[in-house]
Amino acid sequence: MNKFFILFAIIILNSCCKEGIGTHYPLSNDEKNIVPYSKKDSLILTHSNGTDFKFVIENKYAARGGFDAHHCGDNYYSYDTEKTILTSSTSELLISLEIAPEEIHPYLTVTVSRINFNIGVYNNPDIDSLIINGVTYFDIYSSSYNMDSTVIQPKGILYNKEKGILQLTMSNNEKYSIK
Amino acid sequence: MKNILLNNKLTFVLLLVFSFSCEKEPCINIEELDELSKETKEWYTDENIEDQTMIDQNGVSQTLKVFSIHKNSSAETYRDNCGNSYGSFNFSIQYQMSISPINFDINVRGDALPEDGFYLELSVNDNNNNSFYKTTTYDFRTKCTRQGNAKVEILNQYLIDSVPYNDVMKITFNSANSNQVKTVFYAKKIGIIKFIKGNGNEFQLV
Repeated sequence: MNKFFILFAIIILNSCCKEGIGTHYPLSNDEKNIVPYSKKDSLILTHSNGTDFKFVIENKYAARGGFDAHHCGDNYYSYDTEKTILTSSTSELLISLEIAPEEIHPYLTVTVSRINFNIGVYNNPDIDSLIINGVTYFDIYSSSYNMDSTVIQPKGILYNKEKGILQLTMSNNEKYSIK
Repeated sequence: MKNILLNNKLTFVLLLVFSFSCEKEPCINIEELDELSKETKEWYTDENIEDQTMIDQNGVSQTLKVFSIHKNSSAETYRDNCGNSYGSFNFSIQYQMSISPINFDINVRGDALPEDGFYLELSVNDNNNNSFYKTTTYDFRTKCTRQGNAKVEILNQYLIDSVPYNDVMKITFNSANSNQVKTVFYAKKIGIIKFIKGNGNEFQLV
């Protein structure tokens, strides 16, 4: 009986696995500063037909993402993100920006009316300088969404870390440019 | 003997109770149902309806996408006690705006079941940050909305930039904030031709 008990105890002790390693990736200030907007800021984008649309930074908040351990002993990780929401009472565009740590997702994701643009903000800029509405902007990143469709939807974006969204282009070549 | 008598009396009483408690269902009026069916089915869109371009008052264009379209019918889903039977039918079309965070669902249905009936149901889903869903059901028998939350006008003709659209249902919700859809114009065979938001911005077919 004692031998049986000892054997049983050995089996139980060996079946308990070691907990996996957890890693957390915080968002650094440099990464947060990639999105230059603060809550209550505003941004005016001029449509190619001349109409001005005022966007307000309605919300900016921290969130957390991660990968949970599904099995005993699995490693797991979590990371911080920051999300910024822009809305307009006159434009139908719904714009959000989300930044995550470079190790997790080396892009800034800008969503414009359900279309996601992944902007490679940790790489070198795509365009050295560009004049938009009479103002010169530097170190510009561009991203485009390729679609084979006749549907009118966002197709391209120009962005820099100093000013944020500089220009949006629709698939019918209508543009929204920073004023 | 006593038991047999008791059972017979009990049976007789039960029969009396059931015969008085059962209401006679009225016979369905096939002629009326055929009229309502015809009127309701006229609000189907064409089966080959395609995406269309809309423009708003700011001069901004977007696509009114046809997300899905379904049509079906069933024979003899309702039978009355007079030996009559009647089928049911259903048509639905779902739209999604390509830039505005708005979806529209239209259901056109007919059924002889009194609790179902003949109706056009409009649902609007505003998928912005403050998601809002509202629905209204226009009853072709009563000529009113069942929820009492919208006013419906049937227009013989409606002009959009001098283009005439015949037989247009104009549905106006009693309440809508500035960012929500307030009025929808839906034409026979064509579908949605225009909508207006609470802030007055009008979106119409080009």
